[in-house]
Amino acid sequence: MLEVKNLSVNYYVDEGTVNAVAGVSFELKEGEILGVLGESGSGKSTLGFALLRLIDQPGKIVGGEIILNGRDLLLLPENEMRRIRGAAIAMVFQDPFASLNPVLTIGEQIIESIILHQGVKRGEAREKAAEALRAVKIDPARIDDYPHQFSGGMRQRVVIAMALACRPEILIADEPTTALDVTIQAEILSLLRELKAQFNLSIIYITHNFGIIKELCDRVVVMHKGAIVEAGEPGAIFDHPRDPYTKKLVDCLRELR
Amino acid sequence: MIEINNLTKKFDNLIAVNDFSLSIKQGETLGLVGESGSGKSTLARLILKLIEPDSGQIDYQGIGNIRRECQLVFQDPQNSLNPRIRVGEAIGEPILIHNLLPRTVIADRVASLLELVKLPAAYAKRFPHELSGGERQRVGIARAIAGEAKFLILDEPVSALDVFIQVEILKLLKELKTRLGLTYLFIAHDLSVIGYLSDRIAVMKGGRLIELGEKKTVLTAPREEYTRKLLAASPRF
Amino acid sequence: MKKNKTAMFGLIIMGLFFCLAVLAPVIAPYSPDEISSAGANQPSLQHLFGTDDLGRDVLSRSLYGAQISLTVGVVAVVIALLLGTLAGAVAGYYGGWVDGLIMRMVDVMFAFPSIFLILAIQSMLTPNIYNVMVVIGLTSWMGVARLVRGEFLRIRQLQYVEAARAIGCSDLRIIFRHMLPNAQGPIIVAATLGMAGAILTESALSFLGMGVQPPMSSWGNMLMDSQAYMRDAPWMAIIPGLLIMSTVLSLYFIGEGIRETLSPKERNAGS
Repeated sequence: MLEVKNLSVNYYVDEGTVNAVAGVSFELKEGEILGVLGESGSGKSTLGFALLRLIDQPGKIVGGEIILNGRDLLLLPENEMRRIRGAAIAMVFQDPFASLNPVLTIGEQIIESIILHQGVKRGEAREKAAEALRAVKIDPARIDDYPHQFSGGMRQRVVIAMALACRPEILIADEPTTALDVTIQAEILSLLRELKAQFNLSIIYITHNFGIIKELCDRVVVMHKGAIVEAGEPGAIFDHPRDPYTKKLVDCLRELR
Repeated sequence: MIEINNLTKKFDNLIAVNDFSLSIKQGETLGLVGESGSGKSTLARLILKLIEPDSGQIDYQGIGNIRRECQLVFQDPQNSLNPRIRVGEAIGEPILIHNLLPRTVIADRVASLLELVKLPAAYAKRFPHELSGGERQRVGIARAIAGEAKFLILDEPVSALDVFIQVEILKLLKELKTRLGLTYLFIAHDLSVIGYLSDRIAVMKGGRLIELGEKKTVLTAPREEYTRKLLAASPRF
Repeated sequence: MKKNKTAMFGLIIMGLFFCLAVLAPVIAPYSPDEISSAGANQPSLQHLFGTDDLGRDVLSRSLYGAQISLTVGVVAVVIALLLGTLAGAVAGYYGGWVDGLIMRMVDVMFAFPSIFLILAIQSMLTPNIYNVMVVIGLTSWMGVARLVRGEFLRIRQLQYVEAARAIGCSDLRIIFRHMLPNAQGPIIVAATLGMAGAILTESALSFLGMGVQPPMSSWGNMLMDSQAYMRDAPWMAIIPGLLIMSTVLSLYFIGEGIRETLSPKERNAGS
């Protein structure tokens, strides 16, 4: 369903050129949760942004293909790409408060996205927004509340609702639970699992936490310095890491046990 | 070593620490787990006397000067060091202000402290932003033990670091504890890394002590519902 | 660091003016009181800036005037900075009623239109260069105080300040060793802009006769003398006017340049 071939992203800064993503290739199947595991600086977030062509100066996508259902996203004109963003592929970020506009109600923000992509009337959009809230286990009566009235975990649910309002095929989640308490994180992870089952959603989950990946993901790619060094099932990788970097990582994790 | 009795602290209407009692034995590492809002940070500051409780008291046995002998290692290595002060001076500051050594020999002591935390002596002249996250955390640790502290509160000392560095820092902390005969209060927000260092584990929620027990017991057969939830949610292997 | 062209330009001009002011006794062709010609003469080879109505060389008077204006600028700003930084630091660090008290004082001072306040004070004293410097300094510390207080409020919440308290640093040490160096940026900007303001104020005061008194030449009182001769000897007004303008502009450029360089860096370094 999504095929990434040889994707490369460079950042051009005063000190030189940084190969943030270097020739990355992977596949995402329908209804699959793919984990992207990497430390800070591995390029995992850059990869997420690149899939939505959200890379801005001083970064640039310099090569590769991103093929979604047969179309290469890197060849699309900007206005078509905008139709993909939010509708076919949606993204959820780490800090929910930063993704939500504090002066608009959450309902407004979800409705805005729905009207933009589905072109329906307000009334219908409002109903769809309520449905989206229900899907993330938020009482639809809170549709007119403001972001600050929600706790961190609930705000993240709102963001997920916003992302799912237009029924995307793929959800990219960039460390969505890092800023949250561990028990709330568990709830969000189980929510994501349910959503995957309910809507046949494919998820790309970017994180530095192997534990989450083991819990949630069907497959994982391990990133190091911009490249994918190992790919496979989380359990298998943990028991039998092949790449030296992955081996080091697994050894450390075992020590912390 | 430290005995906390019925400690309560309110901020306006919010009760951060609620009738909290706990004993920290000399030479142990007590792990304290609490999610956000549990009151663990407030408790840390109460123990260090950075804030005063509304009621209850804390007894310190074997500690003369609380401010010098009880120290804090912060969570965020980036922000806990003054960006305009060189590493050497930051580490030497506790020695200086408590008049532990004449000025002339402080630099030597700083050099040996750097060695203790496995950093090159040349780092004394550098500024914090020239160091990596893990290196900065080591500086924070050096600063905490510079004044010959006996009791360290480690406030989520590794949660801001990558896994490889986490292990290194935890190993360093373990080594320092044995070498210098320290007592630790290790604060964390989940149960994943707390097992590495802790002898006993305490669980805090809403300002109260929910569970307290030996590490093995709490991690394998917790009594409380909340602890079980926490255990299930904490990514461990 | 200073990739900013206007700031560099400002810096060069100010540097030049400072040098000229310091070297005035050496390079001035005449003494500022010396009557070296009969009445006002146009700029010529003998008198590069011409002479004023009393026959004094405008160039020499300008050079000595530079000494006056720049000295007043520097001293007044130093006084304002010292007062303002102290007030702002104490207010920002301690908060509570101390903060309230100091800020109310600031508000009260701000409520007076400063130029009238200065004029009122000067009219009660015998105006001379010394009390001009002090009075300007005493009436312009408030802006710095607000700035410093703002910075201190921000820095006070940063972890390294808490760390300093945890190791046992005294309040004094925290304020001076830990917080002040991190509040430098806005203070430096305030200093340059403050100096520009001080020079303008001194010029205005001297122009009104309440500042530097003749025969001492300040650019301001040179302007005062030139009023009657605007048509016949315009250079008497143009020269000091241009000098004041270029000084103030240069200082503004420098201040803006520093502010620009400091913005992203401060965000990274101090927070």
